[in-house]
Amino acid sequence: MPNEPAIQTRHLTKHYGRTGQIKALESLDLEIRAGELFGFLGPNGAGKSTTIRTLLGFLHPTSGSASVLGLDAVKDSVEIRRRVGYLPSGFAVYDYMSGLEYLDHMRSLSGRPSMLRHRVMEALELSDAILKRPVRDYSRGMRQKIGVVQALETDPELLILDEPSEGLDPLMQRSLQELLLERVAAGRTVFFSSHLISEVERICNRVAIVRGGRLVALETVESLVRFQRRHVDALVARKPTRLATIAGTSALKVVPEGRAGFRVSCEAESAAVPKVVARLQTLGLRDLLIEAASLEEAFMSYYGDTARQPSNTQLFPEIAAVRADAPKRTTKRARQGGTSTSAKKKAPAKRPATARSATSAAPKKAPAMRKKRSSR
Amino acid sequence: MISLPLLRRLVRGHRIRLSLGLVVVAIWALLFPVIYQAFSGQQVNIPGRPAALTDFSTLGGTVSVGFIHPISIALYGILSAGLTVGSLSGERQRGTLELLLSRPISRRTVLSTMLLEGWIGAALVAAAYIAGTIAGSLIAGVSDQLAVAQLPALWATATLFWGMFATVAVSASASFDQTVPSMAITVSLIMASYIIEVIGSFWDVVKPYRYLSLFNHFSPKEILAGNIDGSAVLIFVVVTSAAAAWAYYEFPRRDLAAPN
Repeated sequence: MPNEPAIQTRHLTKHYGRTGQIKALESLDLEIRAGELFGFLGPNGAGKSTTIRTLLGFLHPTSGSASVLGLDAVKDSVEIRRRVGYLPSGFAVYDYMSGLEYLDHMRSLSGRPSMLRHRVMEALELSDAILKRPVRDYSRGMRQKIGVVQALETDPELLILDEPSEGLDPLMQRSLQELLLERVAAGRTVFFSSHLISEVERICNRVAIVRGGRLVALETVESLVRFQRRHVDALVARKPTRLATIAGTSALKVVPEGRAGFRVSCEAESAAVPKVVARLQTLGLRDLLIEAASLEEAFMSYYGDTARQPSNTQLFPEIAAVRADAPKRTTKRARQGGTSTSAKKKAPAKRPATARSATSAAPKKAPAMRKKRSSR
Repeated sequence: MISLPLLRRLVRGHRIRLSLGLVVVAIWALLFPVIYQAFSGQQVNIPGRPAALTDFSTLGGTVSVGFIHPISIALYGILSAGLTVGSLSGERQRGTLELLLSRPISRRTVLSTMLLEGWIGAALVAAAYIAGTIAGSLIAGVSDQLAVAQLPALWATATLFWGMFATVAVSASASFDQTVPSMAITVSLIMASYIIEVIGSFWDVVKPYRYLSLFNHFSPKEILAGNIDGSAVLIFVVVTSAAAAWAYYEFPRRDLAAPN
């Protein structure tokens, strides 16, 4: 059925322990549409892997239900796994096999022909010679590549990937992202969990954020970011007055720049941006940079309450780093004269042409978001 | 249901251990007809040793000694129960089980395939022992005393006996995420059973409880003499069925959380 959700959970709950004292999932409602590239974010222990393992029938829900490709996750688990490609977190292999033997073994277990092995191998720079070596000689990254190949090679309708970038270098992470975008362009659905917010932001249509087993956000990446604050950085001829009186603005900084005028920076809520721009225009606007908040910042707003969950930053070093870095960046930007430098820093690298064309078939958000982010 | 690709992989993974083990079992079995010939059919009385382990008076008794000797128990245990004790728990411990189960194979199929591997190991071990016995009898020139007609029954009973332990091993393996507890359960069962039988054979206090030992019901000497004990076969079948039933009940219902 074309309009059937690829994945749907209804009040999905999973408690561990004899008395159910460990609450891994609490009434999770998710709906991933067919053809989506869906990101599943959360720190360690948030419930990402539990959700995935429940979808694949490794775990039995305490209550609620889950369906995958229209099939019940408990009753039709075998049929679901016939149509799904899966890469677990911490992928493990049989050390006595070569990479090639392992892939052939996994393919024979799946009962489906290998249609994409060479494409995936090429993208991940895996040669036949490497595959003939025993798996025990492989590095962690190499093993992860084998894991990606076994998940993708039979071209399954749905890919469920748990931390697929784990162990891959940035170049290979990018190649993997391109592969995923290709699969989505070919009509497949991708559901993947990640620690890497930048990865999710770069390629996903929508994102769900889980915290303590609960869903705290389920939005398009664009929507998530839209509700976040904007960084406004402008060069104006005259010293601004009354800018701080506009509702929804904060962190206003004005730095004289000699004959060039005044460098103005502030944080503004989405609704306040037009008013800020209108006011800046009255001051002789010479340069303007409006940066959308990144998904990292959106994410931080959901995980920002360290008083309630102090371990978040420890579990999520990327967030901790961003948080620690955030005030410095604001100050630096306010001091800096050139806005283009910060724009280059903040804007994500452009996707290659193949990746862009691949995403065009799927409901997309990223181009619109990028336009806003770099609008002058 | 059996998964042939999985069975091939399991056998391939154990092939070196299995091959070497079978050769050792065959050589070990080969020794006993030679020993029998050397003792010229005498009853050897060794103080402190149970009669069952020192009965060299007939070829059947000598072959029987080979079957229940502690070295044999270790060899057979390794090659039947040992192959399967780490089957599921080992895969779970290594983190490979979830990849296996991500394929369209039911947990019962995985279990059945692993059970089959254990039974193949048990059947091969029994066959290797009988092959060694035949070879030894020929070498020692006592083949005329070997009850050839009873060898298939001996093979079948020995396979059932060690297949029973293999099933217990798989059942224990299906119940734990680590190999150590499943191995502990299996080894404890074999050891306890064996110790009761051996101690009971010369200590009157334990003697009344020998029937509790599974080894007490396995008598190659009697089988070679043409006396097959139906109740013994029934006991092995019941223990095997109970272990298998537990495994088929427990394993599909278990939550397989992410490995630590």
